[in-house]
Amino acid sequence: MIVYILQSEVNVINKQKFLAELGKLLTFMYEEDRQTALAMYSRMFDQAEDEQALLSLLVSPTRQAVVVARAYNAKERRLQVHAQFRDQDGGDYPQDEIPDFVLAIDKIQQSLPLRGEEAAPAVPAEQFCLFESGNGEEAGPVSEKPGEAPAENPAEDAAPSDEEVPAEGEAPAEDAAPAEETEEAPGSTRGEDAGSEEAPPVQAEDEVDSFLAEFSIEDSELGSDEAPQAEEGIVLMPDEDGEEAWAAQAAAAVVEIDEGGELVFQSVRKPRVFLLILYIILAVPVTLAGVLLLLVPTLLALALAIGVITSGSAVLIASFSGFAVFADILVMLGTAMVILALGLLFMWIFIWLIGGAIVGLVRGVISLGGRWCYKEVPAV
Amino acid sequence: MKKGWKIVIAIVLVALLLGAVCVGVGFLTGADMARIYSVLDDRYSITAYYEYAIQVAEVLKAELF
Repeated sequence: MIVYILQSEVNVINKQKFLAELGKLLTFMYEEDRQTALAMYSRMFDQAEDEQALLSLLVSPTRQAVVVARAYNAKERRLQVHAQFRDQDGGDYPQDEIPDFVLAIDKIQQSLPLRGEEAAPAVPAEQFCLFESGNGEEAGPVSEKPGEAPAENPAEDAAPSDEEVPAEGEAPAEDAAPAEETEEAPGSTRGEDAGSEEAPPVQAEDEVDSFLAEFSIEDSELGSDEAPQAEEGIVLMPDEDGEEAWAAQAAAAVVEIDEGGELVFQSVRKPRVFLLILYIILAVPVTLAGVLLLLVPTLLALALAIGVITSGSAVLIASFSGFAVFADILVMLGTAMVILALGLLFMWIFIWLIGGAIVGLVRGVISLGGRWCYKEVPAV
Repeated sequence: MKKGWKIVIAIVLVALLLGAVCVGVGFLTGADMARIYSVLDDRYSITAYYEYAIQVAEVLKAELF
């Protein structure tokens, strides 16, 4: 697939830029987890002999963010993070509660030496510039096949043993990971059968490639005014209100790219049930009282309009039927015009009270309820 | 609604202006209110309705107060 990238040449980036971009992409994680992930990637750079080779092997921050996000269970992590703060004052992860994303990063780290033996594609600029509004660099389409990502032989890749964990002592998953967790492939979709230890990495990489391929923009789409098609991705935003439903959307939030090339998270509105019920109980009688109050001037305006328009019509008809002097007819026509003008004014006031005031009151109450009783959560 | 208000107000003002001009021109060219009233009274019995309304008001006033 031909993708759109912002530079025609390969970017030469460094550790700082990679980590900065990755940090922006991982904002959906809890801060503790995000720092942990960034620290693990930072250690990869520290341990790497050739930084550019490592960058090529990692492909891009976007790719790594996809891998981490697929292994990130926000709901589970929320409980764990809370428990850690309560029990350990934010310390390292318990040995039996090593997060999946840590294992995923660990497996990436373990697989890097093997992957480095094969040629890796250059890092496309688009994947480093998703959050940049432009730095003066010229844009130009360059084709890239996500499938050309560093080829790896899962059989030779020899998925890391269950005891392999992040190297340095700072890593939360320093010690041996539980076997059932390590069997899960890095980046594999949650809930999938772990299967063998060799097949899942291939599947995970394929899924990442597939996501990135679908996430890219074809040249033909660049000229159209239509919004980019929303793709199912893996990015989600944590809910600060403490609701739980969003966590079930892990690895499945819908994102799209706006005209500026930045990620836009699609969201859906979710009701706060208790507030909504309370609001309905209060708003319905208040709204009814308001409508009844507004009905009084409304009906009064209607009565006045009908009476005045009827009188004006009668005067208009009389001006053409009973008068012989033109001056009298002229006076009657002028009077009829004035009366009909007042009748039109009263009729408009009636319409305004019905269509503007009463309907506006109802819409305002509904809108207020929508703002108070609904919240936006990432769409799936 | 805002645009509707502008349109209605414009129509009403134009109609009032034209009506005032017509009444003014009519009186300037010899219109007589007594003659006009007599014609309307013949057609719509304005005096009769007026007197009837006065009587009803007096009766109500006597009953209520």
